[in-house]
Amino acid sequence: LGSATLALIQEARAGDRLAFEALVRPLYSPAFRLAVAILHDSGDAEDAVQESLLKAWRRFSTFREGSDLRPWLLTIVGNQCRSVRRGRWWSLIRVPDPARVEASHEESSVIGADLRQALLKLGHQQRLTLALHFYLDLPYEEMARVLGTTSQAAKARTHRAMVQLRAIMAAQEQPQ
Amino acid sequence: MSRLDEPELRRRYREAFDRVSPRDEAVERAMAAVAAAPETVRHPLLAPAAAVAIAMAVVVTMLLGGHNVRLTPSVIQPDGRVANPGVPTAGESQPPPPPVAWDERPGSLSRVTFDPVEGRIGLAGGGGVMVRSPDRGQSWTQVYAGPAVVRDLLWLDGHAVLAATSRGLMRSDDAGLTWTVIGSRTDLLRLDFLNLSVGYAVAGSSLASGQLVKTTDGGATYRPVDSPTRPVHWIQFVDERRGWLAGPAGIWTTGDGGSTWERQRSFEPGTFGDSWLAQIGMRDQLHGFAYYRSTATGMNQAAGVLFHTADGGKTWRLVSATSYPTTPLSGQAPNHSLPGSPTGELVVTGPASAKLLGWLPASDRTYIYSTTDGGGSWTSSQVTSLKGARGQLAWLPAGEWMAVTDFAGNAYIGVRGGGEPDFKLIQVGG
Repeated sequence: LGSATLALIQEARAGDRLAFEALVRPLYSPAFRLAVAILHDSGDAEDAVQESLLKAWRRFSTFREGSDLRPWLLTIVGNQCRSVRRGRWWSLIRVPDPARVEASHEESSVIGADLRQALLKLGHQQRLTLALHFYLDLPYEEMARVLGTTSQAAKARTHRAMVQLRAIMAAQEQPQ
Repeated sequence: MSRLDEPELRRRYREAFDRVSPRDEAVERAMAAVAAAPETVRHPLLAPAAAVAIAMAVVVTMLLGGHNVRLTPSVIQPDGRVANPGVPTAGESQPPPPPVAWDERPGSLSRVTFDPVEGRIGLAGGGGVMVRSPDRGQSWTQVYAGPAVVRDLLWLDGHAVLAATSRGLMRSDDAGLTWTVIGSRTDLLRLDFLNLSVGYAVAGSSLASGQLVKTTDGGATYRPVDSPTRPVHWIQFVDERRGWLAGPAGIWTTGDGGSTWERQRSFEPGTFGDSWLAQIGMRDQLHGFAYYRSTATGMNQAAGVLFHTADGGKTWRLVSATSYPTTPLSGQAPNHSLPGSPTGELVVTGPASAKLLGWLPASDRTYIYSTTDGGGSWTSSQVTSLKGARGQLAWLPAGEWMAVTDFAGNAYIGVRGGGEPDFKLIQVGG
């Protein structure tokens, strides 16, 4: 970590919100991308990231100086997304997000539909693993920190998730 | 079937999700949420000390005040001291209360309304939930659950109803059974419509910074319009031409659908500070109330000031005010007292009649207060089955209802028919 980042971390740990904002603002985009890849809804993803940032701020005193902030924050985002999916309202009636409705046109809703459908059949850990690997391009070492495991185990999890994703997609492509 | 090797999977993955990017306003909203978050313990070594301080405060308060004493929210300061926003320390200015978003908590209820034609179909909403009653409030079923926070509900006729939510303006054309998002504004707080197409709303991050916006396409789009004051807290029309708006600076009326506004009452800057919200409740073109209430939290901080008019606002008579903290209108003493700790909006039930939901902190009891003489005198009825709660009342000649969330986070619909002594409480959600 650079000296400027270390200084910001120290200031944020001392309660400086501007320092915290300076640290997490560049991480909003990867956090959002991770949340979208897990939740498949941009509005829910925005909410999940906002809640994650609040949790990160409240817990920042537990952040170890010298650690890398990105995997720490992405771990919180991943856990928050899991909580959202476990929430009591998640499986009930959903209303389309107007921002998403505006953003999505016919083509974009068709493109990737088979993959999204297949991902929905995976468990949270597998979805998280694939999002970190395919979407955020995290090295296995950093993935391991988010997943709370070793690099070897992260690599093995990625492989297993890919195998399962392929199988689901292959089954989807079979003629009925 | 195409070969799904790793590069192909990666390509498909990006194709599926790359089109969705974070909105600038969402980033700023998240940063603002962090900036507004209550102060917490910043240093791990201070946490145990703060916990001990809180525990001691709880024990001392219970010993001194018995079981009915409610602790106001405590804030742990960076040095580990515990500050109670409700009790200023001698020589210190009172710290601002932490932002309270009780009505946006998942499962909370804060709005309730009944169809204006038959008074049969009820809708209540709040934090990520909307429930509907087909039978004057006797039974309720969930019609919406999701991320949207319902901030206002407005019937356009007996079937069409709008919901201002944190995910856009939603509309139902089957009296609340199914909902469709028709507008992308996520900051609408209070709705009012002159007809099915033209309407106004107060928009903003909170009513305290409310801005007047107008739609001419039934709510699909809103645009800011000039308003005679800023912030605007409330707008209400009684027909297509006559309306009123209110804010901390005063009360205005229009007779041409909002094109021009005439000031009816002004308040000196600072009379109603940031914690005060203004509400207009007109019954018809002549009779109604203007109600200013403080949203500050803590004991003895909930306060209200009530005006009544019987001439369309040419004169707004200061009728009553709570006795604490102080009447904010210097030199003008109301003749009557408003009941203690009003916690919700005024519900106008007649030309000179209104109701208020209230909570007495000392006994932790919830009351419904009623006036029939323009706010001069009030009667109270206790909701015996409910401890302290906040929410909204709805009233029709057939009965009255309340959508409330208690301080433990449980949401209830209260139903009371004409003449019944107490509300029947139905717990929803949770």
